[in-house]
Amino acid sequence: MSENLNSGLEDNAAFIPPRHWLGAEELSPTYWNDPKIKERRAQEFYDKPVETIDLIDKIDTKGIKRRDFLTLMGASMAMASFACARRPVHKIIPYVVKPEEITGGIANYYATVCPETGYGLLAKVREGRPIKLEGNPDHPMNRGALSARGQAHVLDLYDMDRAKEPMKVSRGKGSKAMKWEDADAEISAKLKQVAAGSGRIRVLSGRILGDTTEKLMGEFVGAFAAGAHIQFDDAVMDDLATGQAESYGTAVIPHYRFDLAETVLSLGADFLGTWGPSEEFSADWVKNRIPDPKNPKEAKLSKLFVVETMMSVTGANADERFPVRPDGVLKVAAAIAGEVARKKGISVPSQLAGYSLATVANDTGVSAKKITEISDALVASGSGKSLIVAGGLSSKTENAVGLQVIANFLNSTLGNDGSTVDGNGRASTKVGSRTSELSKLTMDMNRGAVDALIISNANPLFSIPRSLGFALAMAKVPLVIVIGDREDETVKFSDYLLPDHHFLENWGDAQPRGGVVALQQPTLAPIHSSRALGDTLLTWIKSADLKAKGLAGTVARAEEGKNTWHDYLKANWKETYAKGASFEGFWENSLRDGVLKNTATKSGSSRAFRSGSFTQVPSFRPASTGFSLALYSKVAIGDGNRANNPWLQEMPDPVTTSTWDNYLNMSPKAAEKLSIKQDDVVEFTSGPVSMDLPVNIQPGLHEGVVAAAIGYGREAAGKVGNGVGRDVKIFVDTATMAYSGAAVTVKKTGRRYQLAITQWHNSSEDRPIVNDITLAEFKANPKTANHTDPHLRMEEVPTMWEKHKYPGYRWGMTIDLNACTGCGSCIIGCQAENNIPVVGRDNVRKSREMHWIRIDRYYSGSPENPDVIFQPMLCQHCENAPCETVCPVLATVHDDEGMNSQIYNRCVGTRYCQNNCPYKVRRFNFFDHWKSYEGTMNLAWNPDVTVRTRGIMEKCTFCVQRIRDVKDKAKDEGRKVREVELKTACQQTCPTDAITFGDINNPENTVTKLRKDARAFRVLEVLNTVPAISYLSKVRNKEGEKHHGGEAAANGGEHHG
Amino acid sequence: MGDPSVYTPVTKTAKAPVLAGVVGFFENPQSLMEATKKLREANYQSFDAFSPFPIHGLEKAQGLKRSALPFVTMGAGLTGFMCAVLLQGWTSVVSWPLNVGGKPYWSWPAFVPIFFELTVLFAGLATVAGMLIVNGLPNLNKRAFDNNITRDRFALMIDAPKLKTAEELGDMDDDEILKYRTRLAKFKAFEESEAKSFLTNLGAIDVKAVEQRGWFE
Repeated sequence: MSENLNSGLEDNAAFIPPRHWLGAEELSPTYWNDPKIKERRAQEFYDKPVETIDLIDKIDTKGIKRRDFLTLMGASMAMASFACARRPVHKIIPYVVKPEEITGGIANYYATVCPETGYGLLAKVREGRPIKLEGNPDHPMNRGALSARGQAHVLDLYDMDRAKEPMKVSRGKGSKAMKWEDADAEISAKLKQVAAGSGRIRVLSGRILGDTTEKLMGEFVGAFAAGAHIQFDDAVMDDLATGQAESYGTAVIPHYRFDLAETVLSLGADFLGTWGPSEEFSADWVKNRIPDPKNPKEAKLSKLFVVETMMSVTGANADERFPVRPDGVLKVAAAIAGEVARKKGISVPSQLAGYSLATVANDTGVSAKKITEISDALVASGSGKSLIVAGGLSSKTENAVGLQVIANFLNSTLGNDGSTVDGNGRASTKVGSRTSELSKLTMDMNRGAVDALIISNANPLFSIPRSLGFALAMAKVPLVIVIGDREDETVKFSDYLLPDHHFLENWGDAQPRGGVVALQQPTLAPIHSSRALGDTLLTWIKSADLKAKGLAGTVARAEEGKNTWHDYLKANWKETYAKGASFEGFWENSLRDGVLKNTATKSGSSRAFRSGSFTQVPSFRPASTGFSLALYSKVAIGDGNRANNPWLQEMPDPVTTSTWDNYLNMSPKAAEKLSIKQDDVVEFTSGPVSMDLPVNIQPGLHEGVVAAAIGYGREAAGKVGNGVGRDVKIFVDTATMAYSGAAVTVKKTGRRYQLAITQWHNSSEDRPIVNDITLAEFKANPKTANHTDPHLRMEEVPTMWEKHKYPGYRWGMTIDLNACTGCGSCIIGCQAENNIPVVGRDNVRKSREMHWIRIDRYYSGSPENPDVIFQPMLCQHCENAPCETVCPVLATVHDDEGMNSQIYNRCVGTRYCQNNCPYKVRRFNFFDHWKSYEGTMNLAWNPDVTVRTRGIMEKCTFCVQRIRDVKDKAKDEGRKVREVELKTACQQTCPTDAITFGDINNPENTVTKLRKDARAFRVLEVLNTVPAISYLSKVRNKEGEKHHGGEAAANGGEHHG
Repeated sequence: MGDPSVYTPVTKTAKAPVLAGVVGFFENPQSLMEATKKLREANYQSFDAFSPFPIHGLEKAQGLKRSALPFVTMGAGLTGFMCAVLLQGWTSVVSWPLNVGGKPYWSWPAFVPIFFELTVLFAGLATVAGMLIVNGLPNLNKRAFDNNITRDRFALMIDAPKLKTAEELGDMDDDEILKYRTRLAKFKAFEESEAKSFLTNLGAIDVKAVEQRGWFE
């Protein structure tokens, strides 16, 4: 980055940069001419981390020292003697008494619900153990899809660092195991005292989506004279709910209807990634994003404007994106609001007066023309046909509520409230507690006004920013009980840890938003000596003789066998939902469906906007000149509560494609000014706090913004999560709960730290592999998509011999780049389905990650504000597969259904196939990676898929075990496989249905039709590999700008090829 | 000695030396060649020439026919080729067809190495075997009469014909005896002293009788 990008372009007139690039470096000819870079790009794997290559090269030139030589010799002798170990022997033990519902080899599916998001789940259970989670198709929110985090829950269940029995903890001085009876006796005695005294008990939990759990906790707390229940976590959309309360009177989280919106304006809200139920939003949003190939002239796409700080998944999918500072989001919003009000003929609220077009344009860098364009588009789409969403950590400054008010004003003015914004019908009332309540709790604890604190499934000592002083306050509470799943940061400074069931072992329910009632049921017997939260509370109500009113009192004092949490849940459902019908039948149906079907609530009606809420909007203040820090959460790690999940840690972030660490994102321009390179460790300081983090150079960031992800720096998450990254929440201003906007200074430290970023791996030798066009181009000629790039297309494919026939089934896939938002759910879905191991940070640095499907991210345009395109890349199952012809042992051949199969038993690990694959989708087991799964984690393996040992090549199989499953079923019933019943794991979990799979011999199938779509192209068609996967070009709703770059790509390829 | 076509062993107990033939040593290849021509004209039943190195034209002088070995090589080579075709064709096309990279099952260019290898293997082995058979090798009943014939000496040996013993003749019927005698009569009769002097006349510098001696005697 040290060289000036633009001057480089001018110096070398012949150089034409590639149309799609991976990093801003590629736009400079010096990059392509650097012999070191050339060598590195040609390398399939780095035999040592790139960071150390320079260092090792230096040593090599001096020759190997004698001692080093002896060490190496010794090591190689040892390795040689261990290398020939036999394959592991595992014994299969049959059932002595077979449970009735289990048939060996046949999976049972149980409908349940994820308490974190409220998504409906189907747990696939094999021989009594859940091995994979899928979305429940009947659930109205996720509709069969599931996020990466949702998929990864199954590994949390088998986490080796889960608490295995109750612990007595002595406040930072260690812990020891105890029996449940002893724990109950001790705690009951203490609770009795509290109840008899002033009864000042507090229950702190994460946001609870289940009515029944919330009710029980309320009744438990109600048994004390002065009890209270506080719900707080990072995912709480505090600003959103407060903004709603300010503008409309009630604190709700509205239900947004992206499917009804023609124009969407996101003010920092990453609704396709980390903000709200993104699965539902993605599915809805994509409905208006697929251009009709039959009627190209009339093709219509919804338009997405994003104003944001850190580039999020939503920003990456935006048609037009405006990078600003954290406080710039509100300024641009205010300017748009002013414009819209003027156009609508409404008097501009006085608080917006300071945000004139010129001022805002000057201050934020978003031109007045663009602000006018956005306002025009919003107004032009008509009443109730646009949608403005605002929020998210990276725009959560001290004026976050003001931003919400402006968004509410816009929605109300444009008639969206009651149409695309549903604030009373299907809105969620599960808004958690306000930040002010959390501050009050801390204050109460500090002045000794809390007798007992019960923390349930929350980790306040990590998730609450430290400057609030929660840890010090907690030390003053006489009794701190944690009901949780592990000995985390909070537990270490408590009195008791009582292990709670994982939700897959537990009963419960969830009402994530209006009109959705879902039931949670256990899918296996508890693995450890844990007890459900509900049972724990009911036990104490009885043993401490608490005067709990309502259902809790009745159930807790019922006879043995009818006093459990399960009974409480059933009783509550009988009261609440089973009206009229016989309860047992209703209950059985609910268990089977997982979600209540006829609870449809009326859609919302418009609410009156209180213009008084504009007091929340601050008067205009010019932006600072230095750096502003924006915090954000990543798709996989989120708030860090599940940092011990290796799948999530190793999932590449959609935008930065980085795994395992957090880092400081910085714009290319700012980095160039400070002469900071990728992976340089910098120290950034805000007031008294400073921190070291490596730098990731992120195109599309405002020059004055640095951004870092929260959820890292766990100290007591477990073996996997401990010490990964740094906890940046120390920069949060706890007085206002402002996550972003802090002024920081950045200083180089001179150290370097290599981030494990995957996008530079698997180089396709700079052959143009991805394609995007504008809507105007599509309208003019829908086939344009295929002709944009001469390198992509080969019209007539000559053949020297007769092609193979594939009678019967022939499997094929299409991936719609317009629908793919890059969210990464498919990566984890595939990982869970296909037993894909985790390799760790160092191996990722050496390009040895094992994901069968990866999502490539390409930029185009200027590095200041590039367009982004995501391309899921997996085995293309080429008809003329280059990998097959080079295998010396025929370990990879075609089957008669058109699939490229890998035969593990035959593979000798020459890696020729990987070398010859133009798409770089083959993965090699350099080690026995499966050994990193310890103890209970081994229960997560899918028994239908071979666990691969060292020295074996592997790759996408099109989920051949799922195909086999469905084919067997179809054969038994004497019919052909139906398209609807067969879904690959990636397709199944995709929220936007970007992936279509099926038999391409059947002309009726969607996949067959999509392959003939005007937008369809196959990657590197010119190589005549004839892939079984077709991609549909991305069409951007971005008029005026030509994306024709064919010539450039051709020349660029020649130049640096 | 009586009838020259009848061999009378002197005794059966003591192993009497059996005459294998008479050898004449020559000074140089030219004299060997001339002697060979003359010897052939003399119409002995069997004789052989020995030289440390191949002498061009000697086989003509000996009146040897062209060897049948090339035909053996050719036949075996063709058999090997056919085996390769059948083996690969059967496994790759008929019995277990594998679609490798969309190529036809009968992808003959890929099979060429095996075609070549099997052809050469069969031809080579058959040639060696044929050579041994044609030459009657290995022959444990004959032993070099003089080690120097592989170094610097040139020799001609007139073999003593294998004569039937009286006992053997007794077992044969008259027709067979007649046939045997007629065949013998076609050739010049062999007699040790006569053969020796014949060789000396041909210009041999040294002449000696050779006894039959096997490898283990």
